[in-house]
Amino acid sequence: MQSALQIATSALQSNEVPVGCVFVHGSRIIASGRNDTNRSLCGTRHAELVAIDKILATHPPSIFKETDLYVTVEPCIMCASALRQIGIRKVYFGCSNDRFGGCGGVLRVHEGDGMGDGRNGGNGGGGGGYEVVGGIYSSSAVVKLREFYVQENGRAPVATSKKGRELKTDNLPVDVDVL
Amino acid sequence: MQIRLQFFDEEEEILLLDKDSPLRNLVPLRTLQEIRAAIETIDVFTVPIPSRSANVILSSLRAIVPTSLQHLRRLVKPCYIPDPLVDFLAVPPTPPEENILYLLVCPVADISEDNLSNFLRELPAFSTTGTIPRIMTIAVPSSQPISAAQATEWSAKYWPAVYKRGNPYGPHPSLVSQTLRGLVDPENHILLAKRTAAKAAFSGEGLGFGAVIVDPQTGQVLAAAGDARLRCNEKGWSNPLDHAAMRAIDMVAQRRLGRAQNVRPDNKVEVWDGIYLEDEEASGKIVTKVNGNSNIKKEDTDGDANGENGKEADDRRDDGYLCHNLQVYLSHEPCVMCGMALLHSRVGSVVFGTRMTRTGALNAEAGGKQMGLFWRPELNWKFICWQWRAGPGEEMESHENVDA
Ligand SMILES: [Zn+2]
Ligand SMILES: [Zn+2]
Repeated sequence: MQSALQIATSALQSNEVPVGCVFVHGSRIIASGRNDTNRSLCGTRHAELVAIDKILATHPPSIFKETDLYVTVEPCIMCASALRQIGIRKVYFGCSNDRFGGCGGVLRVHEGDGMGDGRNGGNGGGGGGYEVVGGIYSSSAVVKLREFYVQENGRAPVATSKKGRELKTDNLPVDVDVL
Repeated sequence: MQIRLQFFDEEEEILLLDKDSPLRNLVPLRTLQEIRAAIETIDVFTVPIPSRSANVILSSLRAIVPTSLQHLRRLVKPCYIPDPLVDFLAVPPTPPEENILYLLVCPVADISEDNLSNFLRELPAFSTTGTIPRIMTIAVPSSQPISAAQATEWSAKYWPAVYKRGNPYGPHPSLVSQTLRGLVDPENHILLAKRTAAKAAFSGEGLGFGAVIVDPQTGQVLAAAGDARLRCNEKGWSNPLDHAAMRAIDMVAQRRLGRAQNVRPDNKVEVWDGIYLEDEEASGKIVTKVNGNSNIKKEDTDGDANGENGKEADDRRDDGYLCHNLQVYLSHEPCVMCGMALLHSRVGSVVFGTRMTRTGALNAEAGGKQMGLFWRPELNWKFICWQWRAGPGEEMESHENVDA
């Protein structure tokens, strides 16, 4: 998770939403990814999908069933479904994603039956569910997102008091768009 | 007859389509909230009262119970009592019907039956004879109807209902009509999506799913992509996430990004028809807006911490922000990944062919995932969605257990 956070920092330096991730197979990091939506002009280039592309360039898809993901922010609904479809083993995330989260934040795409928000029993496509563990270095992940917020706002001439622009780590609801 | 006439007055907003219009094949999807609202009922009291005392009774009633359920008629003539209730309410046959009206008193939670009896007993209309009408409990829809059609349906099933313009549970009907009218040649674009799907299946590179993205301002096809999840790279394996909609979104981005950069450095994106925006700009074929600002104003404006350099992207290319308000035509209902990708890309409308009951993310109807991802209040983007009704012999293979 420390590595994932470092990658999130590099995203921040490139004016991307600071989300970073690493995929771990055995005890080795096989790929890292960071948000790339602004550079690519493509709204789907989230850290997880960027890293999955890298892995598939050198490994067959079957590697995912023995691979775990560490990501600084809870995967969004899109990525949560992608992770399920490639058959990830387990997902560890930092802060939860109240706006787009697909692993409990908004919907529960990761859960057993694949039926989206978990209200239905029965059979969904896209393979079985996966286990998620959230809240790892959660506040560090939030700090990065808040830094991004301040950085973005800093560009516009907004009259905010010094106090208002301090980083708030206790304020968990994440208010960024692309995660 | 007056009650009936009023119903029709309130229906005027419906878009009138020509009998042969291809738009008749487009069935708008209901949102998850609309579906939930459509089935929630509440128990209410009703009593038959003499019609000449109706006004007096109503004003006395106002003093003891709050006014609620404004989407339902307060007084109903026997002839407008829905068929399923006629026996239960023991509605008298014509002609004496003229003398009574059925009063919708209030939800049973607002007053006890005893208190209601006492109230009725003291009314001049009943105090003289000493007998009060039978108090009956019926179930009625608890929230307002979302369309004139639904009001008509409820009026026949539960209780005469009133449709007021507006829709708290989904897109306003006029927004749906306006967006429907703005669809660029949906018949041909859904056909192109299906043809692209067939091509993907035939090539063996993917399953029979296809996606087309159209710019409503120019009518131009910006991308057409087939599913490619079976296409092997030089190492001998494929990417299970190369779905048609994802690939079409990538193509739009690649078209804008130009030759110098790759949208996906590790999984090169093709460009539809080889057209990069930079080529068009160089040749002076810069696309201009055709019909002014057709962008739909969505109810929810994005939060101020959008997290994306939206402004910068807009400066670089007017309206070139992701897939902002573009139209998407899909051979099949997309999976959760693709559905959310369309939301992240801010598309304006989606038309799909075959419903995917097990894996589709857009439909909210029973018998599927009931996710209704296209219009959910908790998400910061919404689009309007239709299913294209296939004609006989036009159905596609569904692959029902697969994520499209
Ligand atoms: Zn994501
Ligand atoms: Zn898909």
